[in-house]
Amino acid sequence: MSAEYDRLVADIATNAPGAIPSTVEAELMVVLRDFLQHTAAWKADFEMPVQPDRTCYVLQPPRGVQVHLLFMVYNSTDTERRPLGSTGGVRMNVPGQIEFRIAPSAAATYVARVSLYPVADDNGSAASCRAAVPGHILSEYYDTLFQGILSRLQAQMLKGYSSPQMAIMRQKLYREGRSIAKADIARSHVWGGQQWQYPVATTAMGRQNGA
Amino acid sequence: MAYLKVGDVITQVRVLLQDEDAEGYRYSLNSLMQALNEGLLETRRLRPDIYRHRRLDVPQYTVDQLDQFIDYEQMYLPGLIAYTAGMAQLRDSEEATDQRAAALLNTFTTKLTAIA
Repeated sequence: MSAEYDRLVADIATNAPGAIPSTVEAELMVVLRDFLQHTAAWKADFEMPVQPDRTCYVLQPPRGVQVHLLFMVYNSTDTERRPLGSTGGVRMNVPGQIEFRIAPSAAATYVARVSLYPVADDNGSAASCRAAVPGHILSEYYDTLFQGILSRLQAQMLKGYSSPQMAIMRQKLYREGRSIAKADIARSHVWGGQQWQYPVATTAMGRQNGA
Repeated sequence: MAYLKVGDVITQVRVLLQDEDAEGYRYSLNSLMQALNEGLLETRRLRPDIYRHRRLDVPQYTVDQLDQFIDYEQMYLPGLIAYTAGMAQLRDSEEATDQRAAALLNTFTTKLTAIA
C-alpha cells in the first residue's frame, strides 16, 4: 500500500496545498472505514473450531481490524462451501461474535466469512491501521478514496484549502464511486452480471442510512 | 517532521529583528523564547491539526533547549518566525515598529489560514 499511498499524499498535497500529512492520514482512515463498511470490499475467512455444547464463538481479527458483516459460515471440510444455518440459524448480533441458534452436532472446524474495516490501535496510530488494509483496495478504488479525502479536507474550517463548494462536489463524486464499487463487489466483479436492481426505497432488505 | 532546531528558529527571528550582534543583543533570549512559545499556543488555536500527531499537546521550549529539534510542521515555520519577531517588536514604543509588528503578526495568521 505504500507506493500508492505516497502517490495519494502527493496528489492530495497538489489539490490541497498546506494539508499536513498526519491530517491526510487521519482523513484517509475515516474515508477507508466508511468505504469498507458500505462496500464490504475487504473480506476474510476465519477458521472457528466448534464444539457440540457451545453456541457462541468469538472471532479474533488482527490488531487494528474490526469485523463488520457476516456473509456465511461453512464447514471447512465442505469443498462446495455450502452455507450453514442459512435459514436464520447463524447470527452476529455483536460484530465478531458468531451465535448459532442450535449448537453444532459434532466438533468440527467451521469457517466464517466476514467483512472487515480498520480501526485505530491502542496508540491511536492511523499508520498501523492503514498498513493492515490490503494494498489492492487503495489501488482499485484510488479515485473514489481520493475524492472522499479531499471532500473532508475541503470541508474543514479556516484552512488554506477550505472550499465548501468543492467539498460538496467531491462528496457527491465519492458517493457515486462508492455506490459503483458496492455494486461491482456485490456482483463479484463479473462483467455482464445482473444489470438492474430494485430502487433502494422499494426493497425491504435495503440497508439505508440511519436504518 | 522536525528538521530545524529551536536555536535555528531564534537565529532567523533575530535576522528579521536586525538583532544579530551577539555582543549586545537588543532582545533577550528569554523574551524571544516566550514569544516563540506563545506562537506555538496560538498555532494550537488556529490550526490544531498541526499538533494532531501529538494528540493536540502543545510543546513548550526553554532557553536550555536550543539544540532540540522544534516539533512544528516545517512548511508553516516561516509564519511562526514572523509571529515571534512580531511579538518581540510589540514591546517597542515607536509607531513605525508597531506597524511592522502588526504586519508580522498578520503574516502569521495569513500563512496558517490562507493560501496566500
